[in-house]
Amino acid sequence: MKALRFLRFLLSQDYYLERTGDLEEVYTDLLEDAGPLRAKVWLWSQILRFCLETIRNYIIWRCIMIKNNFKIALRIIKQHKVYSFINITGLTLGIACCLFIGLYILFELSFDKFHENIERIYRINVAGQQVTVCPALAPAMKTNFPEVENSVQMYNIGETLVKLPNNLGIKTEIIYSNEQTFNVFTFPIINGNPETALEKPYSAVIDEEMARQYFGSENPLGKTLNISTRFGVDDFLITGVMKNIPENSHFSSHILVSLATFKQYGVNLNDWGSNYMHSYILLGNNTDYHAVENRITMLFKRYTGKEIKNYTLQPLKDIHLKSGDLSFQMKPGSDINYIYILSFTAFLILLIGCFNYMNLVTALSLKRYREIGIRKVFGADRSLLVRQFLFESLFVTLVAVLLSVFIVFICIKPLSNLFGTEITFNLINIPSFLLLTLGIGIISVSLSGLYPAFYLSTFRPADIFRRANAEKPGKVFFRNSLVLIQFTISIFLIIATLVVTNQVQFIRNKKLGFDREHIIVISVFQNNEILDKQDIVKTEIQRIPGIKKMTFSSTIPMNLDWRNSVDYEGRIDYTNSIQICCAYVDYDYLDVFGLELVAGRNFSRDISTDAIFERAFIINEAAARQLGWEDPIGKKMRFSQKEWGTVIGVVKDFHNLPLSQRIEPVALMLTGTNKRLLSIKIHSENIPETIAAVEKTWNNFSEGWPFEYEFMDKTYDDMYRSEIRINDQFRFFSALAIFLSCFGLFGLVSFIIERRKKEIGIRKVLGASIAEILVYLSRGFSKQIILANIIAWPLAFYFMNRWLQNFAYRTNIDISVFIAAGAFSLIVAMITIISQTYKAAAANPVESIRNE
Amino acid sequence: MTKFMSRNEEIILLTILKLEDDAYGVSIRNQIYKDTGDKWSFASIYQPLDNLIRKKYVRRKKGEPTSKRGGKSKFYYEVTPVGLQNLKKLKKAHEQVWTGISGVVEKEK
Repeated sequence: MKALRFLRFLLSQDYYLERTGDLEEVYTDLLEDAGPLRAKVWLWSQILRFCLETIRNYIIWRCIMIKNNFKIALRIIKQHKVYSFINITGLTLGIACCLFIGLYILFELSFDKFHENIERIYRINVAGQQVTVCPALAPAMKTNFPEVENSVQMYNIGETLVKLPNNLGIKTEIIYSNEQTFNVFTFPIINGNPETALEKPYSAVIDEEMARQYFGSENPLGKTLNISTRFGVDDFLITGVMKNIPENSHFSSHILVSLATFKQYGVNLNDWGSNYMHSYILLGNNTDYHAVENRITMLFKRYTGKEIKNYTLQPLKDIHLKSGDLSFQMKPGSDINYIYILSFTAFLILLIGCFNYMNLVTALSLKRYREIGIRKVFGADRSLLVRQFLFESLFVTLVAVLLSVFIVFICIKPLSNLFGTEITFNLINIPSFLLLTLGIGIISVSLSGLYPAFYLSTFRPADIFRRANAEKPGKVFFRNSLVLIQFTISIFLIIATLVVTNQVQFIRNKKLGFDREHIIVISVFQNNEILDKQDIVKTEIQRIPGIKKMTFSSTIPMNLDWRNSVDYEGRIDYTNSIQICCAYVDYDYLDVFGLELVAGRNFSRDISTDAIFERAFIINEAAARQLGWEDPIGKKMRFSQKEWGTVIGVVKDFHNLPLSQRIEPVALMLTGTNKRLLSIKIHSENIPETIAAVEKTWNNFSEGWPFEYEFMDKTYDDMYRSEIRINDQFRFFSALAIFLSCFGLFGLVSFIIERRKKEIGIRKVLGASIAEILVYLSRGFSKQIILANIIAWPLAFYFMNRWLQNFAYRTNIDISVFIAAGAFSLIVAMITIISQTYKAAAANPVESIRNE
Repeated sequence: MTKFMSRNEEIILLTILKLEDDAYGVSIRNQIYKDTGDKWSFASIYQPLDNLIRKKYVRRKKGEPTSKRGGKSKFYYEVTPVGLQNLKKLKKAHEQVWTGISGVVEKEK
């Protein structure tokens, strides 16, 4: 009778025999009378009813117990108001912090996940360098590799001037994209045909927001937009309206225009040379992308005869978090390590909150000895007690979770500023948020509830009544270790904060080798109105008082990262190529940015050969070193296979890349075209007036291009905004950590003082002074804090040193950082302790001793 | 105040009394079927029976195994003096409560 074995789980041995016996007896009768089928059905229905009955009983009793548990939990909370407040606040802040970081991480992880083909889309990168490749590659892969189902190519021209039919000019981001865009990416078209929208030259797809904002209720299809690009000013026909590209996409644009337009511009899309095209491919199901990746080299060889190995495929889902320092990303990405650091920090904060709870509950258990004892005497077994204590922590945690969800809802705006993004709930998957909340809740219950529950339930009633006020040294040790860990975490975070602050200060104050004060930078990219009249614009603006010098260039010195292979005099090694960062400049570049010439001369208007493209170069010292030239002046070099040019000057090394990277070889060359930025050095006085005057002059030339400028030192700070952000966050987290730790310490100390009131009274009666008692009471805790420091220092040193390794140029971790963190933690902890102990030490001993 | 047993418990208790020495699971179930016409499930017999044991109104006694039961022993039930006393109280209360009402109930039938 296998079926009956089910009941084995529900019944004890004795009852099992009886009841299965009964069932079998009736079953045997039924077997004869009604046949095996009816008998089986009957037997199973009986078993089912046994199960239901058991469950019903269980639920009834559980409900009764929970009601009781709940009542006790409320009583305990009410009885110890201060401690409960500390517990709940600690847990709430810890959980809220976790929850918020969790939200942020969910947001970061949600990037690009809205594409239906997310698992099959890959971006082609130049390994370790950039995310753009040559335009011929993606189409060639599509025709030659059967695994490649489709490809999308995009050309990002950034912000440019768009004139609407009503002649209103706005600056907005534009991306050229090919006709397969909507087949590969998931950007739903709500008006128009996705198959053909980007097929013809001069077509444009705008997003909903733009459609609503500029066309209102009118149908935008068939209307034209006048768009200025560096290829000219053209009319584009609106052929579709798409849903807004979500915030959590690795590129953003209000307008997509057809890449087919490039052919009209006369751009050769069969170019295997320059890497400027964002290229994505869609692979078939279950294709190993590494295999495809490896064959790119072969493909390259077949078409160009050159051996180029460094093309890689990057899965779309990795783009946001794992693009690192690759150049030409359409939107700055994030870093997976940063996500790890944040989650770890969140966990540490939660840990502090939970430890507070554990500490106070185990301490308070001394007061509950009698309750536990009596429960045991009345027959509560261990599991019942465990359940009671678990229920209490469950209850407290539940309150904390609800409060923290509330806090997160209210504070989502100011907190997202801390993270540099606008996190809104509509971007986040609500089920995963709930799951996260549940997860954090479970973690905190198990962290804070399990130990007290099992520890308290082990009390033996006899012990409890015999020594109601004594505590085993082991438990004191345990509590002290929790305090120790809390302070170790806090000190660690404080040191981390200080080191990050130092590094940010270092970045801000670093001598970069060029000036960045009082320089305004205006983007003139695509702006042919201005670029065609560079000289006139220059002379006009130069007339304004307060203007020192100005220059048109492709980039400013701190962002000089456009690398090209160089061919040079005295080259021996023809297998490896040297990359030099190039910038197109004009005659005043060195003056505006204060770049220092160490040899040779600046570009000169008087020397006619200087003006010929790529005929005269100014390089930096790093380039001279790299190319192996002792005396670089007059040496020959060239980019691509054009004519040789001559080095006419050498500038001192300056930080042409972010401080995370070393200074690289740089070459500056004169050219009339390909400029992106206008940089103007102004006097430090009357800045607003000067800028207003520049704007006025600008408007005379710009034909509707708005005057938008930025100060270079601000741009520089922006470059390090992730470091500055980390700094702000660490400040916040370490403040929270030390606050929570002290909060817990406060509770613990006040509890201990309460228990030692009489002892203090007697000590005073016997002649101890207030100061002596203070020292006596705080000695134990100061030892803890000092020990915490000793543990935290090497840990912090190790981890912060690793973090600093990310920067090629960095501060040292100074011993003063450790001392500052140690002193700070000690002082804060002492204030906490003394605020509690002083009251007890100063009290009249009569009060404390009399009280019984 | 005496707390009375439930109606199901009462039925079971009376059935055990009626069956005298032969009161075990199957026979109790059969007797109830004979008396009321309802086929109770074993679960709904044992639930009140367990309660009765807990209240010490009935006692449980191990009996002989039979082959029909797969070699498992029967367990016989008998009413304890406490149970009997309680039953008497219940009956008395019943009679008290019902006096003067029975006519009304019969009329409605």
